Amino acid sequence: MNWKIATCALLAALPAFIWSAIFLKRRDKNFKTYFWVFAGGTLTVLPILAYQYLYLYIVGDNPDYDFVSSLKTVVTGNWWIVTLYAFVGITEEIIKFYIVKIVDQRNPEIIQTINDSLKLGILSALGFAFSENIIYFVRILDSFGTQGLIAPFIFRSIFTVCAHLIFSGIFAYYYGVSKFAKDFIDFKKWQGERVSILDYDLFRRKYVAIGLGLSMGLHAVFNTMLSIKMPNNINILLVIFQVIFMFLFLKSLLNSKTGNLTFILANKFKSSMKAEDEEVVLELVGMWFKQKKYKEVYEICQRLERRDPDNNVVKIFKSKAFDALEAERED
Amino acid sequence: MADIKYSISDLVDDPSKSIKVVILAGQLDESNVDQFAPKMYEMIQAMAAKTSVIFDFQQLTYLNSKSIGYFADFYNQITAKGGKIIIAKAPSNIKDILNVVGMDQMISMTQTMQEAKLMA
Repeated sequence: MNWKIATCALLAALPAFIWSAIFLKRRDKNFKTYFWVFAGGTLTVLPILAYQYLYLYIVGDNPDYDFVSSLKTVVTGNWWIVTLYAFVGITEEIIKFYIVKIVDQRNPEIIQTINDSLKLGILSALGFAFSENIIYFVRILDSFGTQGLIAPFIFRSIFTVCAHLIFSGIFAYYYGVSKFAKDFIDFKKWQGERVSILDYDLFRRKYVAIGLGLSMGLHAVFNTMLSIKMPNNINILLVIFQVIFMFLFLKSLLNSKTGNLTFILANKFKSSMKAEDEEVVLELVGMWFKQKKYKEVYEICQRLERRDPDNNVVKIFKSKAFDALEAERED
Repeated sequence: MADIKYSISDLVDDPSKSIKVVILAGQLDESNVDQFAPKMYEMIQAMAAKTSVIFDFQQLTYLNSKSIGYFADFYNQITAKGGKIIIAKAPSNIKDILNVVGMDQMISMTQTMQEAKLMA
C-alpha cells in the first residue's frame, strides 16, 4: 500500500475512533453490527466519487455532453458553487440514510430504541467521513505537503467529522421515531386525539421526511458556508457555531428518556389486566398527561408496566412524563 | 346513554360521626359522568366540615377514566374539609383499575360497609 494513503488512513481513523468512543458504549449489544455499519459507511463515498469520475470520463471524451457548462450558464457565479456543494451534501445524506434503512430492513431487531437507530446513523456517517477524510488528506498532501495538512486535519477531525455524524444522527433519530409509528400514534390516541388508520403510515413518512429534510438542509447549509467567502472568515465562525449548536441538540436527543426507551417488537408477556380495564387506565393516563399531571402519569405507568411489561405506549407515556418532570425540575 | 343510579343518605348509626353514604348502581361513563359529578360537588359543598363520605360501589359495573379523575377531585375537596373518603364493596375489576391508578393510596377501600363505617 502506498505510504501516503496508509498515513492518511491512520490520520482519518483517529477522529473516527475518538468520536465513536464519545457516542458509543464499548459493551453495546450491537457492537458487531455497528462495526459493519461503519464499514458500509466507508463505501458510501464511492457513489460520490463515481459520479465525479463518470462526469470527467464522459465530458473528457465528449465535450458535447458537457451539461455542467450548460447549467453554469443558468446558475452563475457563487450560486453555482452553492448549488454544487448543497447537491453533494444532500446526496451524501441520502446515501447514509439508505445504509441505516437497509440494515434495519434486514435486521429489524437491531433498532429497539430510538437511540439504536441514532447510533447506526452515527456509525454510517463516521464510515463515510473516514473515507472522505482519506481522500481529502491525500489530495492536500499531494498539493501542499505535510505542513499544509495540519490545519485541515484539525478542522476536519473536529468540525467536519462531528458535523457529518450529527447530520446522520438527526435523520437516524427521526427514522427511529418513524419505526415506532404505531406506538406514537397510540400515544396520541390515548390523549383523546382523533386517529385514523391512515395516520400510522402518514406518521412514518412524515418523520422520515423530517429527519432526512433536516439532515439534508443542515448539510447543505454547512457545505455552502464552507464554500463561500465572507469578510474575516466569518463563514468559518458560523460553521463552528452551527456544529456546536447541532452537537448540543443531538446530545439532548441522546440523553432524553424518550430516546432511550426500549420498544418491544413482539409481545412476549401478556398483560395481567383485562383489556377493557387497561383501556380505562390508559385513557386516564392520556387525560392526565394532557393536564400536565406528569408525576401521577409516571407513577401509574410504573404500576401498569409491572402488569403489562410489553406495552410500548405505556413506555412512551412514562418516558415523556419523566422528560417533562426533568424539564420542570431544571426550570 | 348508560344507566347510573345513585342515592345519597346520611348515616345515623353513630351520632359522634358525620357520614354520608353514596350508593351507585350501573355504569359511570362519558354519557352520564358530567351529570353525576355536579351533584357530588353540591353535596360536598353543602356538607359540614369533617364529614366523611362512603361510596358504595357494590352495584357499580363500570367506571371510566373521567370518573376516576372526578373521584380524585372529590378526594381533594372532602379531605380539604377535614373529612375522609372511603370506597366500599368495589367489584374486583374496578378495584384492579383503582389499584393500578394508585387511588388505593389516597382513598381507603373496604370489603364491607361495616369496615367503611369504622374507618370513617
